[in-house]
Amino acid sequence: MSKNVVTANSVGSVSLKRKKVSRSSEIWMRMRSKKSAMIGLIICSLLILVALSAGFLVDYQEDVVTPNIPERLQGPSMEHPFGTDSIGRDIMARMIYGARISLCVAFAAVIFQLIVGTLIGAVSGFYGGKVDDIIMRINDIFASIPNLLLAITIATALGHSIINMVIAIGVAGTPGLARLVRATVMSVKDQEFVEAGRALGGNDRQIIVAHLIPNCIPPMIVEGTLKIARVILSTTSLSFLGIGIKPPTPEWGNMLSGGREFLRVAPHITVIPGLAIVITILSINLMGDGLRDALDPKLKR
Amino acid sequence: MSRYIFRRVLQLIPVILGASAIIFFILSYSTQDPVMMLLAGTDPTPEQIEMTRQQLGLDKPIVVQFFSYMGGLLRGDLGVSYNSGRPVFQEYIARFPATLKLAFWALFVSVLISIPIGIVSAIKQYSWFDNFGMTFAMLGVSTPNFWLGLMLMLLFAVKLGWLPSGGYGGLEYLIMPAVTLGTSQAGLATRMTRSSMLEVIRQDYIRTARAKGLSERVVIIKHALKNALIPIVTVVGFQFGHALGGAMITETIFSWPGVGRLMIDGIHKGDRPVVIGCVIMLCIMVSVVNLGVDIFYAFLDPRIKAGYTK
Amino acid sequence: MNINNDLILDINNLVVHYETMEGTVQAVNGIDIQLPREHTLGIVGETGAGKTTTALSILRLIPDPPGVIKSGEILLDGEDILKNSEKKMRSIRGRDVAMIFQDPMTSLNPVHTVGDQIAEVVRLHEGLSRSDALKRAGETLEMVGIPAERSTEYPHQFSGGMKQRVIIAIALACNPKLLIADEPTTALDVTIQAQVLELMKDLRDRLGMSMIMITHDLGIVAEVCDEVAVLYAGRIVESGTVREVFKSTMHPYTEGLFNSLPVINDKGARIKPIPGLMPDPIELPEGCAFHPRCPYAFDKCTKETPELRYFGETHGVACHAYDQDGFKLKRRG
Ligand SMILES: Nc1ncnc2c1ncn2[C@@H]1O[C@H](COP(=O)(O)OP(=O)(O)O)[C@@H](O)[C@H]1O
Ligand SMILES: [Mg+2]
Repeated sequence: MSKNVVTANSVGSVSLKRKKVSRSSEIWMRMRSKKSAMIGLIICSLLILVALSAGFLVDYQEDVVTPNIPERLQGPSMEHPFGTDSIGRDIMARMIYGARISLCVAFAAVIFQLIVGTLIGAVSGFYGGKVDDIIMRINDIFASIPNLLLAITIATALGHSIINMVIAIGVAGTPGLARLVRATVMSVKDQEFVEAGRALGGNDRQIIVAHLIPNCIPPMIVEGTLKIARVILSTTSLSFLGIGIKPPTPEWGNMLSGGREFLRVAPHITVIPGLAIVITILSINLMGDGLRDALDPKLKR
Repeated sequence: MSRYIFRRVLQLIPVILGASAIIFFILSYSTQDPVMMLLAGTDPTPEQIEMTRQQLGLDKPIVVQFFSYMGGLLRGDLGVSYNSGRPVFQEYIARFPATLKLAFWALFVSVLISIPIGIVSAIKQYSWFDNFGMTFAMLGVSTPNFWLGLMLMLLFAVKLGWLPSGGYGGLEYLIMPAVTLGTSQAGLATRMTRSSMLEVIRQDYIRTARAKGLSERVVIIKHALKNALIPIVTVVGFQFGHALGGAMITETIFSWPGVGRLMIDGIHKGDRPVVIGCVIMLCIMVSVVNLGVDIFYAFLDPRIKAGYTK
Repeated sequence: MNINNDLILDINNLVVHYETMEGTVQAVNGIDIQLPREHTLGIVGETGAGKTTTALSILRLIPDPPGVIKSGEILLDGEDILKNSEKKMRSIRGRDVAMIFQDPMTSLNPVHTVGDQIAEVVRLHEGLSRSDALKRAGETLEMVGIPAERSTEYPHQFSGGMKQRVIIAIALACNPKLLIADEPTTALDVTIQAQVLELMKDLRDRLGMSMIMITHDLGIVAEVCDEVAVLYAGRIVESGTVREVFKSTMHPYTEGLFNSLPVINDKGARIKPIPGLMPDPIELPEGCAFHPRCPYAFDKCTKETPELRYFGETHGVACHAYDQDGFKLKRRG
């Protein structure tokens, strides 16, 4: 009879160990079991692939920026699968390059936000007190200006280059992220293992590296993913309003905007880039949602 | 309660002044020269340029400009538009009714869509309706409203000819802008309603309510919804505040003469006082709506009310 | 007098599962409960034994999904409620059967006044007008020892013990025939526990209710109950009158429960907790669910699930050890 007890216990400890070792593969399993998240992931990967290989697929001077007036406003055909725009450029070629630009701006702006926002939020949350007070006061003032508006103002002041776009959108999204990081840091800071680390004589830097950062990473991954979708939305919105990246540089928002006056005769100029934006944002959001559920199964009920 | 409101309004002042200062300095270091933009197309002489610069007060050091602007702001003076020569505040007030109308109807459309779908999706979690509702909401948050607006225009104005493609007037002019803005708000609001309801319906007091023998309708509406409303009101209020500050994109698509258009035009024309004035007004709108939302919380939750009167 | 003909509640072979993503939780695995009118039955067991699930089944309030009542019958006053329509069930809940939940802090709706939360149930079942119902709410509050004026206050203005009194008032507002109390005092301070328990006993006797008292506290059982059923992993392992189960304990698990109690007047005695943990109800061990923790377990316990068998009129035990002649628990020997 005591034998039974032993077996039951050992079975328990084995399964416990297995759980610990394969945390990342468990996350992947959960992610894979969600169809919508996988569809999002596949579409995102394809988009990134297209963006990376844009240089091989089309010739920038010839296909993307040079006008070809005789072939203007053509609907989709074998030669031009997505048709041509108001000065006869092939829309598909421009969209392929546009993917590169939109994704580059998005990634760069989000990385900007993650670095600056994490720095501000982590310092503020970790030190608390006066430092936190001052930083958060300033942060809140920035946050009180609506995102898109702040981006518009900065973009107006700086001018319309791609770099300026990254800065404008990066700065505009930073205050929100800093708040999130601060909240996460504060909640982690009070947890037992940090106290334990302190009690064992760890210094600030060790504690930040060993405990705070690893615990902040999962929410950051999710937030970062969803941010990319929001940033794409902002970038294209600015371009649409004529404040963002200017033609002839192909960007989905300005391509779409350029089709507005031809809505009656050549709707495809507006419809197709818009569809691309929707599909891109949708797949990123699906992926982000799936990632959130996979990283934090407790949230999913 | 009135003390709470007073305190909140007091707290608003430094935030709005701070935001104004940020916007002022960003635009002051602009690479665009408002003088050149104003005189564009006239081939001005250097004397003309200098004179205009003096007229606009742009020859003084930025710090001086800043304090004179802030001084005006504290008296409620938002400056004078470079282009029309009229006070910015007057221009703003002239445009505001159109924006208010659009913001209100968009709110109506958004609430009408999001609350029922969110509630049903939550109580029938994982059902076909939930899948449908969440797909709708996901499409809503993923569709840029400039594209949605143009697609509605393509269908209802260009192809079918049922509605005018833009302008300001009766109900027929309002439908597409309100639906464009409202549905793009509804995506997030639906998701919020669902998640908030899901959170509430697994609370113990919902079980208590069911154990009393109440019908599901009473349980959901009387016991669950009122508790779930706070995050929903937060999101909807946030969206409403922003729409009040000018739905720049929707107004641009449908040539809706609201404050969003005023601001975008100001940007394109380098009309700095108009832009700063609009931003300040927008911040005020957002803050006032936020305050309204916070006060509304007190009516939803007696615990919050108790906190305010403390 | 033959009490068996006058059962308020008669549960036969009830099986309830929760079908979750992780697997099927076998929460209740074929239990029988007979509760005579105006008697109080105690249900004891560790957390996760299936006590709440059993109680919720009687109101048909198992969250569905994931919960499913797989089989069995629940006769309330001789009528099988599992066959009732949802509408019929709604007229039973709160009127014939009322329930008091475990955590008073979360069981009241924070956004409605306590008076309204009591009045609501009277209005529903007795069709009173709003003002009459509010008056009744005030009276019910007085009955549980809270001044009627406080009926316009909100739950956050009450302490934990006071909240539990409000919950008792809600449950008793319509004079139910059967009151189910699910660990009504677990979340309260010890001193408050005694008061609330005293109040419940008093009201039960005054109103002539039948009651099910769910608890993991054997002291409460001794004080309040007539009969007791010990639940382990969704099965009743021992049942009988309080006297039988307490004085002539027969199941090793019940013995373990008693041994793990601190004995105040015997300083030499040591607390002996039951080794191990409750099994995961998703993967119950084969045979008797208690065998991995049982000091008396032998071969058969790992293979066959023991049935409840009776020693005397009312004392039932589900344990293979009694196959062996002259088997006795150590505690008694
Ligand atoms: N809604 C639910 N979904 C899944 N499992 C549940 C649910 N409610 C209870 N359970 C499981 O059923 C078992 C019995 O739970 P319960 O009846 O609450 O036990 P007790 O009240 O004795 O602590 C536990 O293992 C618990 O985890
Ligand atoms: Mg329980």
